[in-house]
Amino acid sequence: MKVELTKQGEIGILKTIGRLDASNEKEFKEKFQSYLAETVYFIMDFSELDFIDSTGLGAVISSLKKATEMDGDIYIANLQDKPRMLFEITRAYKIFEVFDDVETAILALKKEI
Amino acid sequence: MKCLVYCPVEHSEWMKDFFPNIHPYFLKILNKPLLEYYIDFCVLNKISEIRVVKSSTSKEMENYFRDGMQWGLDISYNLARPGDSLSKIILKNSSFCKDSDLLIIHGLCFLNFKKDNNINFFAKQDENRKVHSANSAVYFFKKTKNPADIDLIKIIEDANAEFSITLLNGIKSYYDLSTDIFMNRPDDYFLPGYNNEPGVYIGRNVIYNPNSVTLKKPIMIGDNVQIRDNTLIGPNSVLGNNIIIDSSSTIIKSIIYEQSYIGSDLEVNEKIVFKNHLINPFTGDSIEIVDKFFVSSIEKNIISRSVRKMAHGFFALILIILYFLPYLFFLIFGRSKYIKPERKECYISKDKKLKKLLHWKILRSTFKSRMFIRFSMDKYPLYFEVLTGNLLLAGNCILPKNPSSSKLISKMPVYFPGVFDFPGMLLSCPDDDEFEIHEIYYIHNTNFKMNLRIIKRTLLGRLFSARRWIKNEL
Repeated sequence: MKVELTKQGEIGILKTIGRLDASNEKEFKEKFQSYLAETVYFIMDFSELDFIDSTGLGAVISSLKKATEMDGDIYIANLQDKPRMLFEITRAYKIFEVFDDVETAILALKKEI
Repeated sequence: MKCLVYCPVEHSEWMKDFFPNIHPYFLKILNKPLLEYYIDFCVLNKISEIRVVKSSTSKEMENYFRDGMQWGLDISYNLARPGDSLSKIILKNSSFCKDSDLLIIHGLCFLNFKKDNNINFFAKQDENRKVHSANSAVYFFKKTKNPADIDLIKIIEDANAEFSITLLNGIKSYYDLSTDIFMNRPDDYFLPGYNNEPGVYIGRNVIYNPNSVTLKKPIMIGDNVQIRDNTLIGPNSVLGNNIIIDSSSTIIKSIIYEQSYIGSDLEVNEKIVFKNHLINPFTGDSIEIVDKFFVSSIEKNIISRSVRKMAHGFFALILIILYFLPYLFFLIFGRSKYIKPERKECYISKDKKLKKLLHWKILRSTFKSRMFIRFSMDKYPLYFEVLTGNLLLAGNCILPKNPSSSKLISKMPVYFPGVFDFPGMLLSCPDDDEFEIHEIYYIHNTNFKMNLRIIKRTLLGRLFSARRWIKNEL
């Protein structure tokens, strides 16, 4: 798994590449924790996320929890078919705003800030 | 041209009382899902891509429609949060919505059109239009680069549209719509089943004796239906797929939803039968028939569940034999005041059946308690519960009787507790935020290999890192 952070103003665009599962959820959490020093508003770009399991989703949810505790927020963009199934069966989509592209997600998040 | 379909949760709220667990797009009207009528409409209008936005889960629906190849168009899916407005849905799907003419079907409604009319309605439009009824509408938007600019309020109603909308806002409208199509305009749509004579639609693998069964048209019978002797079906009756009608029963002006069983000597007149519910569409009264000899749902999984229980029992027996000597050794030499047995009332089924199970409480990390956990001695008495069928060997986490456990079980689609469980393997306990996700993930991904992995990883994890397990327990 690779996590890349780019910034557009106050918003951090966090691109996750590869698999997010039990083998790397700790690494994801640690990276996210370090990014929180830079901003609390994030778009998680999942366009290249091939696989996510329940521990990976748990890491994403714990990130949302941390961001909202600091009055921030996380939007999700480009959720692919396989990861979407997990968001659906676990009903995680009810707690995230899911957009089909990063640009619109940025526009929507900017309105919230 | 593209089409976006969105039905907000509140539009289908009424369905929960009559058709629990049926996704609104998958509601069968004359044995055909509602979304399939939308697809027919889209095909007639030369639409090449459909985006289905869902605010509730339905794996069954996605398995049925898949990517739309069967209909010659692309179907994609996206998620909506309950309460999302249509404007927000357009925004969330702006990549899909931009750079093409766009049709939006909003709400739980049926589109009245004629399949033989070369509609191509939208090609004629030069500005944004809508056809609406109460809170549901079909919108047409000309191509835009920025869907966020779409103003839903200013759109003009199209008075000359070649189709109209029927709201599906209650059980009566559902029944009336089925009756109306079936009695007055069956030829307007592509209806499922073989249609050798007008008013008769019969599916595959329908078994009945023509000498002792009377069929009065119009009638529709789905696939895999058995009709036993001395029965009268019709007129104006719809039987879904996988149905058994037992002998000497009469079905008139009724809809029997798929997977139902109708017992013998019954008269079902102007009713809807959904599994074991008998519904009066005119009053909205619904009764659950408790006696399974009258009306019931056909259980698909009885055999596979019995086989699963037997397999788990077999493996439990192996573990009982393997761990017999270590457990005996522990009972004789290993008892300690820091390992306390207690009997706890725990849930053992989705319907909250309770059973007192032996639970070993570890009070302190000592040599004895570590050895106890290392060899998973706490699991030993539970293997016998697998033999008696109360537990599975690997399943959901065993939850003790308390309000939060009860709430959690209600939220899960199924609940089969096991001696070994997925959240337990990950050292996640019911108080964790992620516990529910792990459980639901397990439910949807469980298979023989996964169960074996859970047992193996738990046993080995305990064997090599007992301290961590005890720390988690404490």
